[in-house]
Amino acid sequence: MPGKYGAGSFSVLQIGGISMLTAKLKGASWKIEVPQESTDGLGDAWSEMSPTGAVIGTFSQEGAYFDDTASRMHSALKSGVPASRVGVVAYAGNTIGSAMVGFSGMLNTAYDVIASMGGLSKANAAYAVSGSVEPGVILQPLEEKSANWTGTSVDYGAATTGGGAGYLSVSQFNMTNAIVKVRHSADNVTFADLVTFTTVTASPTAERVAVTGTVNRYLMSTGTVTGVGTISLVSGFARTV
Amino acid sequence: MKAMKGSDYVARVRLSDAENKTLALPGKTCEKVPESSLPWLLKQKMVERIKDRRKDQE
Repeated sequence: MPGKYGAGSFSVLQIGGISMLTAKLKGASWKIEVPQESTDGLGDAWSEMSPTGAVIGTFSQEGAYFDDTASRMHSALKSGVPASRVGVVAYAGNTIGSAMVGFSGMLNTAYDVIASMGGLSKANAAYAVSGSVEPGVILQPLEEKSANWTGTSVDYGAATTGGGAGYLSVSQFNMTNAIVKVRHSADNVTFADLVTFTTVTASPTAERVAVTGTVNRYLMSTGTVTGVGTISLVSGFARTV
Repeated sequence: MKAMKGSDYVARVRLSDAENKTLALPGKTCEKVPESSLPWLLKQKMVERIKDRRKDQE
C-alpha cells in the first residue's frame, strides 16, 4: 500500500531479533550509496563519473533511551567487537503485505551513550550493512503466537524469476521449538515450501535465507510449534527484481 | 488434451494447501493435489511423472 507514513506506522526495528523500538528511539535512517569514481582526465572540460558497481548500505538510529535490560539494545551493542546481525525494519504498518526492509548483515560500527544533567541517558548507534538492503513485504506481522499459524497469502500479481530472500526475526521465545516457513504458489490453491528457516529454539535470533529461481505470485508464512509457551516473531520476503 | 491425474505424479517438494495441510511429501504421489495445479507444478519441476522417474529414484 504505497503512500506516506508517520512515526506511528514504524512498527518493527529488530536487529538480530533484538527490538530497538523498546528503547523508544526518536529516529532511524538507512542509506544506500552507489560509489562513483572520477574517470575524467586531461583534455576533459567537464568532470566524468562512473559507477564502480558496488552498492553500500548503512543504517543509523538515534535518540533511544539507554537501556541495559537483558536482550535489549545495550546487550547487543556494548561489545566493541562488531557482530553481524540480520535486521528487519517495517515502516509502513504491521500487517500482512505491508512493506518491510531486510538487512542481510548489520555490523554495529558506533555505539554512542549520552548522559546529561537533568535527563535520562540516551544512546545512538550506527551500522554498516555487510551484504544487501532488500525491500520486501511482511508475511507474518510482529505478533506473539502460542499455536501453529497459517497466514493469508500476499499477491504480487505475477511470479518473479530472480529468487529472493526470506527473513525471520524472533524477539521472544519460550517454547520447545518452532518451524517457520515461507510457501509460494502460482494459483493460491496449492503451495510449495520455498523457505524453511532454521528451527527456532531460543531468542533473540534472526535469519535470512536466500533462494534462487522462480518465486511464484502468492507468498504465505506458516509456523508449526512444539511445546507450551509463546513466540514473538516477524517474517517477510524480499523478491529480487 | 488428456486430464492430468495426481496419481501419475510424485512430488519433489512438500506440497500443501492454503491451510498448510500437507498434500504430498517429496517422493510421494499426488492424489490429494488438485488437478488444476498439476500443470504449473510440472512446469516448475515440483512434481514429475512417475513413468519419467529413473529406477534408482523409485
